[in-house]
Amino acid sequence: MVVSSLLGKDFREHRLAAVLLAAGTLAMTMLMLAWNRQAPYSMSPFEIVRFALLSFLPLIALITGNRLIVREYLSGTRQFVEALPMGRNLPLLLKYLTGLLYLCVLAIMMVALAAQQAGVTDDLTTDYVVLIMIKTLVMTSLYWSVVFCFSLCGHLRIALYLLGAALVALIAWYPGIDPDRVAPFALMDDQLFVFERDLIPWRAMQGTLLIAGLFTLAGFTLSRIGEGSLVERLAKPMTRRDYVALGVLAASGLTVWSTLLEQKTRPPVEFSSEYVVRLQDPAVSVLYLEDQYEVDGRKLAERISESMRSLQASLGLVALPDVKLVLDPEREPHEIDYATADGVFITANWLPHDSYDDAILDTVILHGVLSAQTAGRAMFEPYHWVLDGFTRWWVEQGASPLRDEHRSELLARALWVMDIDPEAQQLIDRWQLIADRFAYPGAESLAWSAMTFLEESRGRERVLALASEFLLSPLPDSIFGTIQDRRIDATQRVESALDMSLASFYEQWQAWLHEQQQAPGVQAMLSSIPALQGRLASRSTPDGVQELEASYEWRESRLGLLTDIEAADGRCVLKHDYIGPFDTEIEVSNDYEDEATCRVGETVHVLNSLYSPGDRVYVALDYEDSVFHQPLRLHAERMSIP
Amino acid sequence: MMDLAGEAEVAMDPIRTGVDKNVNILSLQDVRKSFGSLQVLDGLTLAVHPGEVFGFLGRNGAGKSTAIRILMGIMRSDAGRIEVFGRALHSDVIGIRQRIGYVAQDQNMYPWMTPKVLSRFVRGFYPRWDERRFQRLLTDFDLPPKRRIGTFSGGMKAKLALTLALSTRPELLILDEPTAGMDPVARREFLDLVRDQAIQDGATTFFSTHLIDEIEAVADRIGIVESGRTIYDGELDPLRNSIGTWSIAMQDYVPGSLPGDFARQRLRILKEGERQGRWVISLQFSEEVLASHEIVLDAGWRHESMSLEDVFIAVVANA
Repeated sequence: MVVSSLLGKDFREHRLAAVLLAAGTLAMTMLMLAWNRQAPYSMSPFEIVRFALLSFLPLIALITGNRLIVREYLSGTRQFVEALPMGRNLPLLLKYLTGLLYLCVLAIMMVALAAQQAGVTDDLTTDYVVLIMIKTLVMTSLYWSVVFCFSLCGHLRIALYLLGAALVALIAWYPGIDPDRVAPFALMDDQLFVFERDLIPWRAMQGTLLIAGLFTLAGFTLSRIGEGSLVERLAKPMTRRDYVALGVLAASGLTVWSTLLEQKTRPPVEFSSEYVVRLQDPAVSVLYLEDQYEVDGRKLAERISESMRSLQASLGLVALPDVKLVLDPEREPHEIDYATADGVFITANWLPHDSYDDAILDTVILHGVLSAQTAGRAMFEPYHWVLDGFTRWWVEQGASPLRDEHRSELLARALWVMDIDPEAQQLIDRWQLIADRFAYPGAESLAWSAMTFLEESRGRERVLALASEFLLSPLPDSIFGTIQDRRIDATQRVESALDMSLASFYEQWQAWLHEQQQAPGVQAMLSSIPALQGRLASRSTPDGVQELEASYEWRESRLGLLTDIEAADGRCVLKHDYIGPFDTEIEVSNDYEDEATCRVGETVHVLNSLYSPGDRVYVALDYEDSVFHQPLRLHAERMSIP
Repeated sequence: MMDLAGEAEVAMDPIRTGVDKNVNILSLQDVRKSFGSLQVLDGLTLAVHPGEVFGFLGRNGAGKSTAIRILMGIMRSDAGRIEVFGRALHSDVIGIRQRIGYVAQDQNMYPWMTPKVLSRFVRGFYPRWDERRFQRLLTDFDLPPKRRIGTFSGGMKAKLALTLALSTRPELLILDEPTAGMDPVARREFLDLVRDQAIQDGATTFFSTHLIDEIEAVADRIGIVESGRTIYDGELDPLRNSIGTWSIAMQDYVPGSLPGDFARQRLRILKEGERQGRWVISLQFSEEVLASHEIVLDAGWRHESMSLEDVFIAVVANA
């Protein structure tokens, strides 16, 4: 009776807020799930659960604690309740359990919604969902315990939340602590939370529950100190003095934080070796390792420097990031490592190959330069095709005339992509899909062909105008800047830069591209490509061996591709690797490949026991020959091993 | 004055409810309580008899509220013995509280509730909750059952608290300075209600206040507490009668003299000094003196009238 009275009171007092909060939470979750589902590269829906746990569930816990506990203490109604005939700890215990139950129900509903949205690739099993749910509930209990404890601290609670947040930030940031080994950070690991299916993170869960238990115990202990007199003394609204103290605390925290950040700043990366060619304005450094490579290194530095200077003048760039190139003579020509720390840092085998390979390297460097210039903004998906297409265009014909053999190869590859997937013309909407399916060379050729069409039909200035629109401005540094920036969507900006509708552009560009098919050089290139398509199958043998099989078959083509498999001089290569949830534009390593003579109508590649059920794998079937500098991706698929 | 006659049939019968008329309803013996270095109760001792209205008098900060919180089992004493209804308080705090109606000093009721909703909440705690009585008292006290409590005046809230307390059919009603913050009219009205309830129900009432006139209006016996100690526990009249004030013109005053033949007797000088050209002296006599001696004044001395408030101040000042 007593319990139902107390619960009934809380229900009557908070029911509206609870319903609104729950509706808001679930609406937010569903919105994010829907957004995720519509996105070209959807994540696992359980990523949404993880996001919710890291972002708005703590806020909901905060609101719940504020209503259930803080309000009761601040308004003094606790004194009314404590004079009623019941156990001392009962009201607080019921509030603790009510809050925990409410948040757990919300968390369970979020997991259930995510599970309902899960697709085949998420390989939903009961064990998997239960594991995710347990992890979610453990985190939820931690949030509620912290809020429960701090809610009893009255006017000190805001300061405690700030201190708590600072502590979390410090642990996450401090180099001496590996958050992945510390609960609860380990439980929320960005990979393991969603993708760990088999191992139960006992230690992380025990650690998290231990912390939750300590906070709960601290809360109940606090409520008993001085028979509740301490909590009663704390339970008062913040005074002006408290606000001043809080301000001082926040200012001190920020000062400490900025001091730590200053200490963290390190001098920029510079080559200390004497085997370095250094050019200034724009700054290009080439590490050539041995005397014998110095001449090539200097040529490369001058070539890059000249290209960048010319780009700077054409686009009106005020400054350019430093470019540093490291030689690794052991690498394949197209095996280029790329980073944007302290400017652009590239490791490649840049010793002379042919002009096409040089163009690939130069394109990667300029790609890095413009990415760094825009603080990564140029990589934003709707603009990414402009970055890829423009950099290749600039390298091929921006500063110097286009070589015929390059043109033929790029056009042939672009036509081949369009032949397989006519939807690939949707550059803004489907760019990541194109890159995933046809790999970087295929996507880049397509974007280059769009830029070349623009140049030939509307003039060089139009290409530069399009690049200026998307590749010059860094990310806005304020919320207003961001809002202003997003006021006009990418399509409108492209249309404004092109001075034509996007539909017309796509139509005219495609017509132009098909005309290029008639060029003898292009035809020659196309006729060397076998009209093959790949097929992948995964199965489990009666012995329990997991097999991945690949075969090839003919496909229809309007490009006059090679239809005699015997005449094909290239090799069929299966490439494969594990993938994470955020891996896009995957370049599978050469270490994981199976090369074979191309055959039609039979299994060409078989992988035995390499992957286990539940693994997420990217598998590509490439055709590599001596005509094209880079492989042609016949088939690509993200697989979840059943 | 409220008419509670109609409820005579449900008035408390101390025998029926298990209260022995020979046993104190409430008994505190040498109760001590301190908060850190602050000694709030320092050997508080008092007893409340069945059916009486006991006035618990003391200055602000004398320890009245702490004593009541200890009586209610909200807080524990450091030492001493507390018995309620003849049983040690902590042997069954919940059971004892169910038999007590309590009106706190501050009415911290939920402002969003209406009296109707409040009764739904509170009745779950009291097995003897009388909904009919609650409804009737609401009507009698002119309390709107469907209005939010947050909109009530202080007096209305106190009445509502009394309504709640009475609706539990208490054997002991504890009122902790319930009229604090009320205007004189509301205060008088509230005291009338308490007195009526005491008459009608026959329930024991423990009335804590620092206002003498309230005690005078309702109490059968009083306990005066000062600095956490009981300095008087008994009926009002003996206290009043035990203290007298006399004055003499300054020119007639012989230093060290008393108004009459008192020096031989046991007495205590509570207060003496000059006031408006006269030497004024207040004396307190023991009960034996009062019983066996007639007061004969010496020449020049005259008796000064003394209110209960004067008595209280004199007693407290000499505690």
